[in-house]
Amino acid sequence: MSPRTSVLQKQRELRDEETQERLIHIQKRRLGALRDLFTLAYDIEGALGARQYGLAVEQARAALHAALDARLLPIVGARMIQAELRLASGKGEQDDAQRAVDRWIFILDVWNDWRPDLVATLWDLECDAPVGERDCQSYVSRCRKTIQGDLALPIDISKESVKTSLRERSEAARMLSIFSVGPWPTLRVFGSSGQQAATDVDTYDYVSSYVDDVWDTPDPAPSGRDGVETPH
Amino acid sequence: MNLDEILRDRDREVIERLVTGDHDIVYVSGSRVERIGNAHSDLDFFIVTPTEIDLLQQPVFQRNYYIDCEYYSLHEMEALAEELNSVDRLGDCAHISDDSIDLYYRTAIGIPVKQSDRFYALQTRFNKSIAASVFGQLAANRSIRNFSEATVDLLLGDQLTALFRSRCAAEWATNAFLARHGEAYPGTKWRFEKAERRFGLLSPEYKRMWDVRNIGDRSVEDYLTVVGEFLTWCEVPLQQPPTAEHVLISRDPSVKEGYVGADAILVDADGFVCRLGPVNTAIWKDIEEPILRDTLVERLIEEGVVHPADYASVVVYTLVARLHGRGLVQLKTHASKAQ
Repeated sequence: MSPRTSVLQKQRELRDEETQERLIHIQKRRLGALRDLFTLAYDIEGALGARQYGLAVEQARAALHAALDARLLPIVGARMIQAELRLASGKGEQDDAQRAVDRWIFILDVWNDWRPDLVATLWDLECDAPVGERDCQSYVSRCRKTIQGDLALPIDISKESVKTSLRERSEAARMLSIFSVGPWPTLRVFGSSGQQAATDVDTYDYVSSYVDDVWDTPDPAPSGRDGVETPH
Repeated sequence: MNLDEILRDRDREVIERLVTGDHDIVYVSGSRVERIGNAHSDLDFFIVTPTEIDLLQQPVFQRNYYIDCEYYSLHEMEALAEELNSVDRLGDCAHISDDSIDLYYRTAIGIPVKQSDRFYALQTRFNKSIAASVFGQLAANRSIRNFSEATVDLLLGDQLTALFRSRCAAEWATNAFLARHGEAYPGTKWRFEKAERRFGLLSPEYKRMWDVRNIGDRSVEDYLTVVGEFLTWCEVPLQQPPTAEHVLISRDPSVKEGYVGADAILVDADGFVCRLGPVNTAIWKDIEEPILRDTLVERLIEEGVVHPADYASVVVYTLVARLHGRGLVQLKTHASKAQ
């Protein structure tokens, strides 16, 4: 092997490693968004149960944002990560406004030509200012419907059978942020049916299977537009 | 409020599973202790050890809610108390992180689970009113910053950014207002529950906060105006605080300028091209010769370039910072006004 070939091969290996690292970063970020979505779904249910409509509306919009992030990441992941890194290295505080602007730039880039109806729905939900109990309940329902329907992500945790699964999965997903460095420990998940028994779960298998479930759900973009963007 | 009101049937069993040493202080806090939480809210446990430890977090899922545990060393907690207690109430608190205020407040309202005497000794250094003062100041600063940026964004024609910055300005002004009225729990998602508790669901205060929380059917221009009025109502000052220094603004000599219609086109030494809208072009023309920032503000008000005039200083301060960030202008500070 000539020195030049050797150098080129080394460069290719490094590039592959870098690409792999970025893809892992995107996948982790997407899992973070899904984790947030499940936690928020749970929060919304708690807020509605306690008739805390300010909180319910707030968390419904946050859930919509989390669902959008999860949907956009496979399509424009590298650009989203870059935007978030730029924000993180900025003023040292959460810049929610800039994050919202960046999200909308991606929404328009990805869906404006293909799904103007979806963009219009999302904009309505972004700007809506419901007044009164009935309006707030309606707003939360519309957010859930869009997340479940257009964005094809689970949010409804009202059915008991789904509830157990989502709560446990949400907890497993939540662990990822803590265990993303170092070994994957065993997670002790308590049964939600009131039984005393606890189950020891291998978190890596648990979270991986959960990611695959959601990763395989259809994307709102037409075929040919979806798939993980390859960073250059 | 005591522990029995906070803990439910199986909580104590779960607590027994927490990893604690004999001398560890354990306390519980969070939205349920603050009495604004609901049945799904987290139960947050804090474990303070006398020795340095690696940070661990071991959330445990329990029936209808989470039990979170955060581990800190006593040294870390003492440093946190010192950090916030030493903030000048009128001074700069920009270096204080959201996490620091959150932990400080949660400790101030915490209820001991283990080593009560040692917890109370620690808690004397965590003061709810200091947390409210720092959080209120920080929230007001963020509100002002976002509003200033929104004003400039709208002048530049960037309605999308102007909308989201206006909304953030309203949110932070609400937080600042509530903190000033004794509702300083730093979890910002709870702001309307705090407002309901403090003022009542049907009060004018609640209605006003609710009304500005989003743009609704308004135009961005109208929404920005409403938010500006809201900031004034919240006593969040729109004007930047006066500084002792006077800033002399001059164009960077390497910048080339041209005009397309009424818009100035600037090109810096690196080939960066920047097109200015009518307001910014007017400002750019005003700094053809070096000019003091305050003088520039006065000139803009005289020329009627910025509406309303109250925002002139906000526009100038923010725009000059942006031009400086792009290397298009140079800034020099003077202790006294140069002629």
